[in-house]
Amino acid sequence: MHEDTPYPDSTRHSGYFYLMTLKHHGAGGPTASCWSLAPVDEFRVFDDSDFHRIVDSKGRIYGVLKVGDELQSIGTWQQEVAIFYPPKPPGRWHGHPLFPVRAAIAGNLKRQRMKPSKKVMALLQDAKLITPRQRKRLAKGDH
Amino acid sequence: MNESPLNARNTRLWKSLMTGRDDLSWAGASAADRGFCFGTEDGAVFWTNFDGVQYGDPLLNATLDDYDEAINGVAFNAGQMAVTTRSGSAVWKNAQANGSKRKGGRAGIGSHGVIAACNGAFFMPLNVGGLMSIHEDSPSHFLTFVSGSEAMDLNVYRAASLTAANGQQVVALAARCGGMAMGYYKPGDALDLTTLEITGADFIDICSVGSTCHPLAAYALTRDSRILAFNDVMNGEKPVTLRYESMAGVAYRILSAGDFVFVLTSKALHVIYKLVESSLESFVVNRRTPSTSFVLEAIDMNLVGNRWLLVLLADGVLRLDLHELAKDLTSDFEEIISEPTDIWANAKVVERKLDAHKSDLIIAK
Repeated sequence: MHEDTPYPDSTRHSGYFYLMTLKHHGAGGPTASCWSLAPVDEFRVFDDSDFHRIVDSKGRIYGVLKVGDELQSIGTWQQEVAIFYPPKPPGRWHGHPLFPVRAAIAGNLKRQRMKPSKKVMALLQDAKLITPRQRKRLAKGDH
Repeated sequence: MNESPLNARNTRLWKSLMTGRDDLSWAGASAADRGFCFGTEDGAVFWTNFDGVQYGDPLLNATLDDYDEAINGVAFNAGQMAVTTRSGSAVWKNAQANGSKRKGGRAGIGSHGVIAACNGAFFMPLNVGGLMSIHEDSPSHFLTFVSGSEAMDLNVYRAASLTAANGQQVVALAARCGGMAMGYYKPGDALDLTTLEITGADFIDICSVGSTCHPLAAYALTRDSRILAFNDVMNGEKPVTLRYESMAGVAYRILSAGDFVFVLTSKALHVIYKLVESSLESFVVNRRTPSTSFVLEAIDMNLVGNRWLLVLLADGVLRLDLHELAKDLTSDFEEIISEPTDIWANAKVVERKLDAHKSDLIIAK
């Protein structure tokens, strides 16, 4: 990628459009959390997140990628949970993999703090996107 | 493969502890071989005897954090207790005492867990933040060092602490797709690491073999259940690489106790007997070994000395008696053979320096 790239499709539930940002595909510096998925799989995580409506109090949605029963790494640091941010209209949504532990370093990772929250992980479990065991592992930072 | 111990929870080998408790997030050793220690999803720590009977008052908010996060590690060393969550970490004195005798201080950095290091310190893997070590400096003051790379290219996920024959401290790290990293450790010094990177290998865990003749021998585990057996993590020799067809699912942990190696995957607990036989003159990795497996879906596991293995489930804990397991070698174990696996064509060695940044941790008066 050389620039922010709009994904051609919209989500099946809400018709949201998605932007694959350069920042989260290698151009954001060392503290930027980056995707390791093919565009079609990255969009699939977003589409599933919208479909199951795993939403926090700020309107952000969350998702995972599963193959069979197993959660897959979605980021270059082997993260397993993604967050997506609502746009300012008429913009597009964008997102990135979440850092599994609260970082000691400054910058984006420190601000992430406790995402996903325990409440969000409970919603992921209720939607059967993750099992109770997977929720417990994620709660421990075992991505 | 054996039937799941979940179907017959109390047998000669297995005992079910904390049955029905779905709030546990960690289970392992307590201090000074006094029993077991448990962590909860709400950030509390409590203690039991070896039969799971609770004693003393639980330690609430064990990382002194603003968040009630799930405990992901507890370790005891030289009279201190360290506790970690993904949100924070803390060190305690008199943690098992009641009320006002407890004194703790927080480091405020999340980690993947904590181990007691050979030199009286605690090591906490910080993901791409590097490795945190905490040493007691005086009775109420600890020195905290975070050894990290500005490039954030090493995802420190698990750590093992080893002591060389000459007394030098060695830290070996499972650093996910960044490889395996190892180096000599001195408190406060930059960490010079030799990193073994293998394209396509995701290193998920590492542990000491526990060989007195080969104190720097270690096992590493990849997410696709390859085991790498190092006779000395610092001598630069290639480890022996093993893979077993029977190990399905995603690998979580590898632990070694006596002649047993335990591999926990998302599908089962695998027990391998005498994977390594070592003496002063030799270090032999056996490709044909007795092994047994137990079908279970576990979250984590930890050893308590060489006597117990605690397996954390979604609704309780299973205790495996290693003494009884050693008596079962003829009945339940079958020979398995590791498949040839050569991942070295994709291997490279990278030297890294992780600078150490110091801060203070004060135990509350």
